[in-house]
Amino acid sequence: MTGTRSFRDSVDTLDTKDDLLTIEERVQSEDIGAVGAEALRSNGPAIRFAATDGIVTPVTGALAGPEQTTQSQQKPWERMAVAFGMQPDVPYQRVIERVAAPLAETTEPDQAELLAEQSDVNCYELGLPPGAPGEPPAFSLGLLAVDDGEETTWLPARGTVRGPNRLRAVVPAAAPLESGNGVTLSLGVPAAALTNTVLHWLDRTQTGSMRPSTRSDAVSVAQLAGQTVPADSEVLATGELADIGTGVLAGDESSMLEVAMDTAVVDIVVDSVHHRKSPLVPFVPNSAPLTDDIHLVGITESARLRYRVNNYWGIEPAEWIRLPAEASLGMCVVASEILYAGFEWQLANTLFSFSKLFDKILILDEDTSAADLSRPLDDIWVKAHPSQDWVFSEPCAPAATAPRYRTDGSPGSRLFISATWDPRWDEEYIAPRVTYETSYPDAVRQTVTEMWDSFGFD
Amino acid sequence: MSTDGIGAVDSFREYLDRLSDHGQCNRIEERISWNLEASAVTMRANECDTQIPVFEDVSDTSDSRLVGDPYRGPRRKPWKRIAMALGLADVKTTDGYYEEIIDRVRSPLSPTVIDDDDAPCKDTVRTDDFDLLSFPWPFLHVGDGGRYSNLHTLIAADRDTAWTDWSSHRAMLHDNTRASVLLLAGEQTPNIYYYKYERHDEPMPVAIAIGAEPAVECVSAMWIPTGRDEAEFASGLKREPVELVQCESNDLLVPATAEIILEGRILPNSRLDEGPYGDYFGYMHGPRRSMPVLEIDAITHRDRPYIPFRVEWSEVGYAHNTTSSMEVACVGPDATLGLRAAGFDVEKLAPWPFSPRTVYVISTATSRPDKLHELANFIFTTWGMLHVDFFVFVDEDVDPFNQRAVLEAIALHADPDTDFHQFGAESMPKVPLNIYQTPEEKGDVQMGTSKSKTAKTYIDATRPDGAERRTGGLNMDGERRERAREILETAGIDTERGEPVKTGLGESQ
Repeated sequence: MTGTRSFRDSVDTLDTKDDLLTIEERVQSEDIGAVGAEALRSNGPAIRFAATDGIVTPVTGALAGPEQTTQSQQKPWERMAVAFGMQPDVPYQRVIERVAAPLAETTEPDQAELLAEQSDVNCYELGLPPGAPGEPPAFSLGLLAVDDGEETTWLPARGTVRGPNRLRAVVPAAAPLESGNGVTLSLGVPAAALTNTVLHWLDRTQTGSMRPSTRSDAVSVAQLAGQTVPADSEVLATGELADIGTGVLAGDESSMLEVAMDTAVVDIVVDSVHHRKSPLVPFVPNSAPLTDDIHLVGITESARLRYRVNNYWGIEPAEWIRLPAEASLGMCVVASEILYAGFEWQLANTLFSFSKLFDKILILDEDTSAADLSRPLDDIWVKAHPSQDWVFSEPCAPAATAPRYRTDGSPGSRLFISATWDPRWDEEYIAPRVTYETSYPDAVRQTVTEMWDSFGFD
Repeated sequence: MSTDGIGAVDSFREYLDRLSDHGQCNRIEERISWNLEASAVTMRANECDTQIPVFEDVSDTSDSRLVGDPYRGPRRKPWKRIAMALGLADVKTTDGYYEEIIDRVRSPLSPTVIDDDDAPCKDTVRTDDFDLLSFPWPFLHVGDGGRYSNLHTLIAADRDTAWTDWSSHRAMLHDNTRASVLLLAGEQTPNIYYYKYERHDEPMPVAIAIGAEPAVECVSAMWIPTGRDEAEFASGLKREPVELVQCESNDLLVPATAEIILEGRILPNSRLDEGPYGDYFGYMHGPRRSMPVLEIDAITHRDRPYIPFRVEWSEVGYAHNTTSSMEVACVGPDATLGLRAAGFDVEKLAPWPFSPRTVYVISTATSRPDKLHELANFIFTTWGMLHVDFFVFVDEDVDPFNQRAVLEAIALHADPDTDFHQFGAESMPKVPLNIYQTPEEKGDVQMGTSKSKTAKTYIDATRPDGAERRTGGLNMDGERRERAREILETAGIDTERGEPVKTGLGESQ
């Protein structure tokens, strides 16, 4: 696969497309998260903090995007598309297919030279911002490469700095970790490295599959201290695992990594730091709305589910699947052909089987656009019969992980809402959608188009 | 007293002038036909969130003018133009607007009755030689059953008391003297017609005020209690008496500055086709239905009258139109007041912007199941609720106008086990203006209610008692958040884009 961008190239591309703001003014480290969160809340651009206390340049929102409850011009996945080397206006389905590519085909990464160089700075001197005032410096959207003596495994990781040479990280609990394992934490890695890795661990923890690999031809790799790492990582901290599963991460609430899978806390003793010149690192203000980790997990899980559903029955009924960041991944929206009466039940329960994140699914007709969230937010209320099409399971289903209720894991009901036309209905029962095109003949639309400028609207 | 030193406008055309003064009105002098073109231009204007179009030339045979969705507000503040009409241009926030409207609705004033000679709506009086179709009623969507008057106030007297109800019911024009009027049982005026006049085989005297002053239009959209004088509420809303004048052919009092008054009777046991019609939730719901017949007895109007209209369905999605703006500007504060007056601890009621009159969101300080149940029951039994299937309850620190936050609350806090109520119990009435019932379920509609029942549902998306909102610890600090916004604004970011936020600093918009 070609064309995927390094983190640095992604940020530079966002800059050229006016979707990144560089704040030259010095911003205190403890304010970086708040500024990033406010930018997201304002549907603003990604933010690059040029003047901070350390050597890293934090970037917030590089993989995030705007919400679609107030507008549809900007798409939530545009920055992800840019990171994958695509134009920001590509259709959602193309981004999803790119993210899911490792499920369809195993490819090998190119070997390359590590771009980072060894440095004598310690972990504190990197200048990573804290998650919140008074908390230790934090890192986000990291990859932990773990060497078990035979091969390197990549793990999604976030965490904090616990000392000049000590890091504490949250990683998937299912990872085969042992004290003394050689590890390297990479920060500022390509988005494809993150989606590949999250895709692997979501699939592994939610459906038991060992595919796909965390590595593909989308990310060139290099060797460092005997481990395979993304070649263009911005910062790398190499060392070995110390304590596993005994510590807790101080401070802030959990991220989408903890929501998406069972996690463990590990401590890392760092013996060397590498970084590129003026390294850029992503920073996620945890638990704020619309953050990078929500988008990352949401789009990766959407890609995974669409691939799985469309490779399940021998046909491909699902047009698109979205876990909207607006709903913090607690709801799945799927547009699908309804093959026969009752298919919506099969579809919903297949999705529930494949993912533990959500317990609410909204099913839409296949011709519904993925690019316009307002349509689902209309159809859910007007198209689904309030009793017949809101379908609750018996209260024995496993608890979902995104919602904030039944967090003790006690079982309960799931809900799917079918805002689709009943395939048993006669054609004349189906209400035509009113659109500009259906409301006005060609001649009227042409007249309006031709005269519009002369009307003098602002 | 207005908050900006300028009072409420006294007429629809004064409202247009005020819009013009603020650069928010586009008077189009070129010929634009009433036949779909005016609607198409209005729809595009709605989508573009631009000025209100006034069509000065729409027909060879009439000098009447059309105005497309005159009360549509800006996308981020849909109440803004109505606020301007009511002399509230200085109000900055939705909360401030709500409280001002609530205060005014609480303070009704007596209207005044003026002589015919002083009433602009009687510039021209036609009691014999009138022709309903001489006016350029707009044809709105190519699939519509006919041409409509759909932005007006229907004035009807109760048969048995002195009460007069003002409401809004669209009318499809049929010929020189007749129209069919959408009367859906369950609402006040339709109930008076179906269960009083028609049962006694009597016609219901009515007047339709087209282009009435904004305060009148607002009250027509509100849920004014039965028996209360709606003109008093309109007067309270504008902080000065509304001027009324008596009809030519019946005893009804009508707004004296209205552009056109259609006087007539809604006949008993007489029906004409109504619809199809591109309705407010984005689908063309058929089939044609039989609705009561309005027989016109007289028409009075101002010189070169303006006929306002709304392009329904254009508010579905991200655009606003008159319907969705009036839902926010009129129904929202009025219903909030009504619920508070009934003793419920309600912060705010907000219509869902993507599908008006189908779901409302209520922020409340209580999450007690019995309180929410009582609140839901109260709401669902009020008039107009045959339209509404859903209510969503959120915590008082969740802005019900912040759809992302509401969606998140439903996704993360509404447990399918315990928080979705009344699903499955198909025991409630429903208007046939829906797309989820089959024609057989809707039945042969005679009174505007479906043959089949439906379910009314409320969703408790509040957090458990004591649970804090999870929006990131760093964002709950008002001082830090304000500093962050200052940094962004200094760097050129408009922090009022995107979602409104309530985190102790008040609304961002």
